[in-house]
Amino acid sequence: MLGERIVFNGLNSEKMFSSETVPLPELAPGEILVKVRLASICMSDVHTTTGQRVEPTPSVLGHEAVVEVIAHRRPESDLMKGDRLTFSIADSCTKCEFCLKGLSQKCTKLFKYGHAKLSDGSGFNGCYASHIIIRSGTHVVKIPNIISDRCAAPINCSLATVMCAMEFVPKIKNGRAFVQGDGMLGLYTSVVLHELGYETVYCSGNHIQRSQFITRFGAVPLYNDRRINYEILIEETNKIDVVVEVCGVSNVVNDGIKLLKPGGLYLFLGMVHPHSDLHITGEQIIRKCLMIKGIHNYAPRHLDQAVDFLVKTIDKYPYEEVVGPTYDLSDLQNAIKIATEKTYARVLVKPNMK
Amino acid sequence: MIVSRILIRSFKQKYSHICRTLCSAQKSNATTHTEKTYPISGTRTVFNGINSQTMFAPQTALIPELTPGEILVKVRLASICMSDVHTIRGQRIEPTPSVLGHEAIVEVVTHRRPESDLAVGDRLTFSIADSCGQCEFCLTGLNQKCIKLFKYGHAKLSDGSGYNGCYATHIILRRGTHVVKIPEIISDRCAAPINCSLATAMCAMEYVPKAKNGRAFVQGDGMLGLYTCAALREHGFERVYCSGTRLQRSKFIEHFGGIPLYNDEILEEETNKIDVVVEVCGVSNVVNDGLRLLKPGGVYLFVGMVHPHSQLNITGEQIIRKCLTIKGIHNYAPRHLDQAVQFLEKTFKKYPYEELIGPTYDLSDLSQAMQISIEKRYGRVLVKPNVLTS
Repeated sequence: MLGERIVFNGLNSEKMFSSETVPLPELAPGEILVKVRLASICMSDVHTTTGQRVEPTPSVLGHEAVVEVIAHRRPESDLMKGDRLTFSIADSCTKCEFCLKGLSQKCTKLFKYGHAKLSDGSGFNGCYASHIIIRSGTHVVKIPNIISDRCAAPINCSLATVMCAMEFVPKIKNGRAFVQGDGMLGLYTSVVLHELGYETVYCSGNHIQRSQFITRFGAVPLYNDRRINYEILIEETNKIDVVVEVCGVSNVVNDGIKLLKPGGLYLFLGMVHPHSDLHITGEQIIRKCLMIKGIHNYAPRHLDQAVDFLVKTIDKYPYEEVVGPTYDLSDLQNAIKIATEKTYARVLVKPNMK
Repeated sequence: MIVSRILIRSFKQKYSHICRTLCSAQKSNATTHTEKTYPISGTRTVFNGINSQTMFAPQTALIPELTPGEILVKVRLASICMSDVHTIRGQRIEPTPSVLGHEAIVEVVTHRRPESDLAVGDRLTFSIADSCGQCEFCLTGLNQKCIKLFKYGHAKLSDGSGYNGCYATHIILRRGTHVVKIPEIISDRCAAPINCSLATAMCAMEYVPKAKNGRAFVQGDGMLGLYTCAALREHGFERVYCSGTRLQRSKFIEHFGGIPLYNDEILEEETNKIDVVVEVCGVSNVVNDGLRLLKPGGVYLFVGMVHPHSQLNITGEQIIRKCLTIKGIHNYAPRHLDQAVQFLEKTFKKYPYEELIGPTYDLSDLSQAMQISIEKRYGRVLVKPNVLTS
């Protein structure tokens, strides 16, 4: 059986992406051969193709997808051919100190789909491909029928990461939150905080077309209209219980710190790149007894929670509508370009559409 | 009785010794704890600001009657916290005029807390923060951020009686101030720094996870640093490194359970291996080193940088990629004062607390005492008022 994958050769190579068709290897114990039903383009991949992030090359990018079981070697599981699955970005050992204390994403033997060299294992390591070989240390979760492919694709990076962040958010009576960023992470964060019982959730961003979605995801949209933002900032100074940075831009952090009330919590999710200098003082953090928590990826339990959350709320929020058009795998470069424009929260990629 | 008390109170200070004699000669029928020999006046050292002609000026003032919930205490021994040193050097701004000093062991003279078990003569430590007990911060255990916060040693002279700081003969403890009795085993010298330094360390410890074979790094070897070393060791941490610039005090680090690091020892081999880093030196340029040392999922406690010259030179990426927690610790809540006294009592013979404390100066020598503090030769420099009234 053959599989196709789009190899990323690096920014400075003649052909940034090139297609490759190779035989699929036999499975080792614990592995699962899946076909990619639908992949979505995470902003971190956009950053890789614009040079803001460096990934090993050559490699197969793409780490968000809903997949389907073709064959597997997990006899102890209840997996069946045809099952739709989401899977953990991180393949982890379960035995090191990090796995044992629930921080599997920092496993000493960590492997990440979409972030691994082509020469690592079978090379079917990323979602911009027809197939993926899921390794023995990778947690998988079945996708219930009620969740469409379009809604399922972003679960295993964006939504699961938000679930990880939520683990640190206290349930607060009449809680007030401020979400900095209106991408997929921002929309998911808004809706989860809303479901958690937060009374007022602000969501700020740069994409005015998202404002109607923000409202429908339970938050109050704030746009790059300086005057309105300024008024809200003044009014809510020292009153916000939780601020969540999900825009990847470090200059929002000073505002976030001003908004937080004493004892408040700041979650950092987006700034996973070196151009994230913070211009804050230790005094600001100390005087307000603030907590800052860095969230990077997630652990297996958060994937379970993500699927549960989506099942519970699929009819309540317009998840389907925030996801954009689907491109054929061979049009990956074009799809990434559309993703860069940020018109849609997610752009999708499907192998063998033609 | 009432008439004579009014008469007595109408005398000014120059007759005070006559009044005192009259007062103590009186045998009051209503011998409740509030009516024993009440001191008419006390002395406090007023801070006038660094640019004034006399930065510190002694002032003798009447001690008013107590209102419900208040405690009149005399200061047995006060200690000079580094933050007061920063105030007189202009690195911190406090309201002026004011009475500085917020660390002291005190003794009950009289009180109006009938529901308590306080007795005249009790040695007490007391919370720096006077809090309301009812606002959202008090109710969530963050009393130090009470919306009606009052802080001893940080209040204007005109606030209340003005007996608001420890560089004085007396303090009037307000009704929202938590107090804890000092067990006999703890000497005055060791008790004085409890209510800022040690209690703050206890608050910080609340955020330290129990880590099997845990490793910690304490950045700073002043009073906070040494208390933190001991507390981490008692918490079960296997290895506690302690860095600092006070070379002459580094021997104490070992006595307090720490592994001293000298000068610019980089500790390369512990990169990504430290569970908890605690900044207690007030200097922001140590933070990058702390971030490097922390293992994924680690905790960084910021305690010392309570001043504006604490610019951090770090990225969001550093915090995110290692899934770090940074927690700011400012002052503490009432429970931490209890924990501080319990901790000191439990470990009093185990660690050389007495040796950390330096010389005692008379209250009238406060400026000199501050000078010695600046030199950072001792964990603490003490100040003792000459108590003129009993």
